[in-house]
Amino acid sequence: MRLNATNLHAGYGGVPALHGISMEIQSGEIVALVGRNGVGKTTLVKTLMGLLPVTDGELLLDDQPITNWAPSKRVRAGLRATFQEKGLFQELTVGENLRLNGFEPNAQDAVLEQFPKSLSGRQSQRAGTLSGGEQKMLAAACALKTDASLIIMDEPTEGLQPSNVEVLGDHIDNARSAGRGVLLIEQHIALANRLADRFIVVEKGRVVEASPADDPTIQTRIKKRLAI
Amino acid sequence: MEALGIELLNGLGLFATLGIVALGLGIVFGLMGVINLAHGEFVMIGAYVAYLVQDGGLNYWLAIPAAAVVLFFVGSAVEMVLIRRIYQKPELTILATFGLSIVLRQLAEILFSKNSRKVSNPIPGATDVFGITFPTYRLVLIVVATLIVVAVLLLFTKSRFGLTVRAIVANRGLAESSGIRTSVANILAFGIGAAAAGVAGVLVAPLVSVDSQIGLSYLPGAFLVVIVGGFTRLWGVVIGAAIVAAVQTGVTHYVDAVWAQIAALVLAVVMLQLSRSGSREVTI
Amino acid sequence: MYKGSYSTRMRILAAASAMGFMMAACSSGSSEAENTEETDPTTESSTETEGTQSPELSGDSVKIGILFSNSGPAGVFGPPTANISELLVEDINGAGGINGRPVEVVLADDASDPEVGRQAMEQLLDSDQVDVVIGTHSSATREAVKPLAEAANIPYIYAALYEGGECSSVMFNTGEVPSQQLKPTIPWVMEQTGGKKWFLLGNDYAWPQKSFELAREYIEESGGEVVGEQYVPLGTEDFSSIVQEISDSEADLLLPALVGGDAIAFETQAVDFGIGQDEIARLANIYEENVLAAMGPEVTDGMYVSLGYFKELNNEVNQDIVERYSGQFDMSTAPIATFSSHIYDAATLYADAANAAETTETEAVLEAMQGREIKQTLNGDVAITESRHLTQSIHVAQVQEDGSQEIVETFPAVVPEETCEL
Repeated sequence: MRLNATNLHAGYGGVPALHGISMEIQSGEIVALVGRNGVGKTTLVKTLMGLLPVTDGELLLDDQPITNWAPSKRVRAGLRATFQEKGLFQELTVGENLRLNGFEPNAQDAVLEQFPKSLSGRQSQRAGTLSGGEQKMLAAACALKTDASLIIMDEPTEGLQPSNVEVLGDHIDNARSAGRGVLLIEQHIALANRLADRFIVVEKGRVVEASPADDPTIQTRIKKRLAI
Repeated sequence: MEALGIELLNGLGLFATLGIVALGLGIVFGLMGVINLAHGEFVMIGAYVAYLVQDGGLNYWLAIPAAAVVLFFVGSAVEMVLIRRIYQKPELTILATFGLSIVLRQLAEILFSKNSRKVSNPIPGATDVFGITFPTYRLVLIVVATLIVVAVLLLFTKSRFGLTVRAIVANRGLAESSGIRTSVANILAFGIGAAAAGVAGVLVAPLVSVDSQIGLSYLPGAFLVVIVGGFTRLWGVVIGAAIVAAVQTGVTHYVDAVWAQIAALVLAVVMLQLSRSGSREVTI
Repeated sequence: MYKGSYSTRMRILAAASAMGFMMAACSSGSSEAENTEETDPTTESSTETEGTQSPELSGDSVKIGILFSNSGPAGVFGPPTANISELLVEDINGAGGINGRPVEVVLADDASDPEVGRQAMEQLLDSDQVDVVIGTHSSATREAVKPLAEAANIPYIYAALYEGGECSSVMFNTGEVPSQQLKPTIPWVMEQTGGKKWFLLGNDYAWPQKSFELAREYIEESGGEVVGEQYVPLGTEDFSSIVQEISDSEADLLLPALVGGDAIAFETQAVDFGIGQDEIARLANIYEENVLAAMGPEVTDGMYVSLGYFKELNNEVNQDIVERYSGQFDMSTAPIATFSSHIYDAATLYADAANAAETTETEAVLEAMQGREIKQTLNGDVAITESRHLTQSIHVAQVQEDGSQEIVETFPAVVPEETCEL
């Protein structure tokens, strides 16, 4: 499966945040999208998912235009996302959150045995009472353990302990091995370096760098762009 | 003692009626944030369905499923045609449903004239309850209305569909991103709310005048219940109906019916003031 | 993405419920006055009548404005009024019109709402330029439109039964007042039934309140006793507690001054609770044909109703009208009853006075109305009193087993106990 964005424009209430982003992600690869805060990364996730309307440009899923599809229709076509904030239904329980993502009660133990293991047997706990890290891990599990072909992850490691970052990285890697594509929006440059097949750098709502991970100059250019 | 017993049953009757009339409003307003001023006209359509069923020589009780089906489709259609595009604009939903209520009343007058229609009591007579003689139909109404309210509440709290609706209430965007077709769930919820109103109309029809104005009498009561019960939880409909029924029956008994209405209104205003101080998220 | 905060919803809800209560209180109808010149059959019929009218009718038509409730809670009284206004045009024109001019009716709907009524009255007076307004609508609408009639100096005949007390230089009030409907009938019903203990149950507004104030006097004068008096808000649906109170009061007579749906709901529920007509005899002063039909014969059998008109009256004028009405309209769904009959009679009175005055000029017509006695009304002989009300016969009908009404007593020429010093 392949998702193409061409000259994507979008924004909030008439204030544009994306100024013509073009990019592509397909099954079996991990693309790391990096950029400083406020360059439009979260806007891009919402636009790709259909939570924000496209004001100009086009979105194609396997060459089929999906620009006006509802988010749920994109999900059913094989696209998924995890969000930087409020990635879970806070008022609902862990079990209910899993159920809403397609894991019936009898399948939930199997998910939680893989990760996040700390939530095993805590299906009746309200998601809003979990720690920030637990919430992040559960939201990631909800997306990675589905059979989605393409998964967009917005800052999945933010606030995670290093050990959990490693665990999450393994699961993302496994997803690629299983033939699925991941668009990884990450500040955690080490994880991106470990996993990415390609890099995309975004600045002011535009793509300013796009290179394969084996491009010898990419690391220098990213460091320069991110000023780190 | 006997007088108290009768007032208790009267209060229960009012509680059951208010509960089932307000149920649909609780779903549509409490869960979906839509102020449906045509809710009373959904009750009216239910009452006319009861009339048509009885007039056609069929058993009165068939009107309950018939009205539920008819109103489910009416409610779904209203959601798709009228409400869908204006969820984010409460003032528009008020105007749209207000207009709808006028259209539905006019339609009723065209179809059934301005004259009141009679729905006969399907179970005339009285029954002894612990030595108190009470109209049988009212007893049945109490039981049937309570069962239906509980069933609908269970549907919304315990079923997969209910979980979906709660997810939408909690976070519509995340629900969509989890693959839930929120537009379909909205149609279903609105349809179920309307169906509940229709069943309420069937149940009250043998007690009142079935005419185009009937909805206007029930709408304020339904709003009272939803306000007093608070709509952060659907169970609030039950609590609200209980409080309003107790106040109305009590004040009517000890003072009079006019003060009973004033008391209920004051109660609603107090509840509004009390809850305005807090800003809570809406859940079931 | 909708994320409703509790307080925002509360604010919206407050506004919406205010609107909801407003709707129930004023009960919205169409917000525009119904000018029937385009749509109503009345105008058609007046043109028809003009085609077949007696050759001597000539000149501009005299316009009779009729302000009535054709929508909202009192809308059920509308169709018979619209129907009978066709007959009154036929009859007045057939009898030579008004001073040789044909008459024409302009209908205006107040939607059972005083504000809509005010707009409708403005239209009658300003756009339609009517010569007289005849009204059957609520007292609230009357209060709203009276100043307009006074300012325009146009005769305004209020023809609905009401609580009495109206006194204005341009007005005549030809409907029944409590001193007519209740003073002779209360002792009569007590004698018929042997009952003495009355319960008074009314909707909570001026007409029932004033009626009951007087009813108390009449009951006490007749040796009876008021054992209970209760008012319920308009639009009450549940009467269980009230029924209980009536039952506990051990009353044997009930005066129910309830209107429309409230009357139907109350009587239906009272029967369920075992206090129907068989247990407590009713003397009703506003249960007219439509309402009784909606209650059904099993509920109404035996009830007494006191009014100035029943379609069963056996005078010639009424029998002729009933026959023609039945031929043209549906007497079963839109029967002539007290309100519509009063419209016809008020128009007859006006035509008679204008013919006597030989003009439609307001001062002269009002002068001619004063003290006027005529015989050709649907209720037989009537006379305008000094108090600008109407001396008329009051009838008591009893509802029969099949739901029909039979006139069981007539009190001829009952004088309204009203005063009007201008």
